[in-house]
Amino acid sequence: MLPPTVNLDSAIESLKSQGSSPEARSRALNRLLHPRRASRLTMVLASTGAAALALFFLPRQSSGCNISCVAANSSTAPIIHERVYKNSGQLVLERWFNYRSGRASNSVEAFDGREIRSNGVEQCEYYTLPQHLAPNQSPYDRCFPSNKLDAPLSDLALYGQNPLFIVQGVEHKQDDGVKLVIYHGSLQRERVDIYAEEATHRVRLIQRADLRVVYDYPSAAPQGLFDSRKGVPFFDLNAMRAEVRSTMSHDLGSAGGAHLKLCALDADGYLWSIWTLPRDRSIDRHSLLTYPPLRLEPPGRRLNLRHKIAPLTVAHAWLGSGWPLTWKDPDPSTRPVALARYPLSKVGQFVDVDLPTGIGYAHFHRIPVLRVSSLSDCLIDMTGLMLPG
Amino acid sequence: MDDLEFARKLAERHEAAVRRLIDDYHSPVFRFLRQLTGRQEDAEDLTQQTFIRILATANRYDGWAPFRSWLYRYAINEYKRWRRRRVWLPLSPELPTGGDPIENVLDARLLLDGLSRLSIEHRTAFLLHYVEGLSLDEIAAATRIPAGTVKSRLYHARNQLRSHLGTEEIYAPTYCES
Repeated sequence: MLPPTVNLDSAIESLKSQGSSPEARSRALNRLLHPRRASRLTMVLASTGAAALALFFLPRQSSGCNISCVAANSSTAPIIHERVYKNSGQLVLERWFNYRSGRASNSVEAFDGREIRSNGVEQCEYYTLPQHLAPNQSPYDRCFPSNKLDAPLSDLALYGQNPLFIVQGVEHKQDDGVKLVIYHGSLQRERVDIYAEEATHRVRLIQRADLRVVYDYPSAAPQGLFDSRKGVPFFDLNAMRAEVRSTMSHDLGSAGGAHLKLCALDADGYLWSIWTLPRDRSIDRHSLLTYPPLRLEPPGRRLNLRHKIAPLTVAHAWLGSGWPLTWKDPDPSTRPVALARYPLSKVGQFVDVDLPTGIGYAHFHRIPVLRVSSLSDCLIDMTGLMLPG
Repeated sequence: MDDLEFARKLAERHEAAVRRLIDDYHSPVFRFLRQLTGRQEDAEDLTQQTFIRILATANRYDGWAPFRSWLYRYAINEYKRWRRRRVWLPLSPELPTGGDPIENVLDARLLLDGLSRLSIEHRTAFLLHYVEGLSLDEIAAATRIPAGTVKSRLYHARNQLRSHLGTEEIYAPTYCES
């Protein structure tokens, strides 16, 4: 299915029309002008009462462990299975962590139609997209080397470290033969109950008002869970970046002062062209929007204007500071320009493109098209793979 | 009245200055927080908290940044505090709540939906620039990052929104040479 087309102008205008109500402003003004100040006696009584309550509910040594200790004990498990449910019972996130193989964490995350698999060497992301009706759209699965360490219990550790998280009571309970310690806590008026096993001091359940997080510590994870899926085509980010870098190191063609560096089709179906112009040439936005369409359509057929153009100009001056990781033409006398279009017919291995040069249009014939996941994966990735040269 | 004078009067709790603070900034700050949090009631609380903090610390304002940036910095900090209290929030859709007038505007809903998928930094930069109308320098001051990083965040935000929303065109960056 084609993505819905959004008119950003009207959407932003709608957002701008939002605002606070006169009543809210009046309340705010009143609160600021007449703050409610408690009397000194009330303050003293309240703080004494709070201190007494805190002492009364302070977890004793008999509870074994505080929240930080529970988080630390839980994270020592070699295999952690985490499931996050909404209160409606809907599973929104499931993650497996296997710390058995060295330092690298192996994990599987599944949410929002996306699944991430990491075997400690390679990380793959799989996207479950709706029907691909766009002619050039492709599944967005991609893989790249990764030894990223994930921290499944970081949220629990945060509770332990957050001074605003107050354990108001500790309860001992037996559930299915397992002795549990329940920490009844609150964080800024929000109730959080943390269930930990009394014997191991590992967290089993975190119950919040809106979510329930369940932890298991199985002795083994399902076979093959962390490996990349077999038979699924994916974008190999490293190979893709190397190919783009190699392609952009020379000209695919030059005409009218323009040097074509790249034609790439991204997974969303946008066809990108990147070319350079002499510094003294400039292309205004109007000519980007109105320049002749790429020659991908049979003669006489127009591109669907609903998906007309995604223009982007990149001024060379920005590349040095604000855009250090953007592709930078080694020749400072040139100005790189990038432009995308959304062709509605199937793009093959080669295209003909007409590109604006500032003084007209240059025609390039039979230019090879690279397949990439997205241009930003290639050019503006934060690893700096696309530094000059 | 310049920003420093304004802050001084706020610190002294001048009623006119407090009224001006509310009249000029309550609505934009509420809107900003409403769109960041996606929750009406939380945004009201955070807005109130922002203004209380502003008033309590107005004497510390030294004019290093425009007052507006300083104010939004407090709002962003309030939002971050709120986020820390809601550790699993990224998993919950932050769509407009029922009864919200914005819900009736399809484009705005889609845009908010798209924005909710962006990182906090990208969402903040986008909202401050395109909705609140802050300049790159003002955003840089509000978020204490270089202006170049703001540009980069805006670029990423537009790019990701384009792929989420299938917009007809990427928003022309205001700093684009044209």
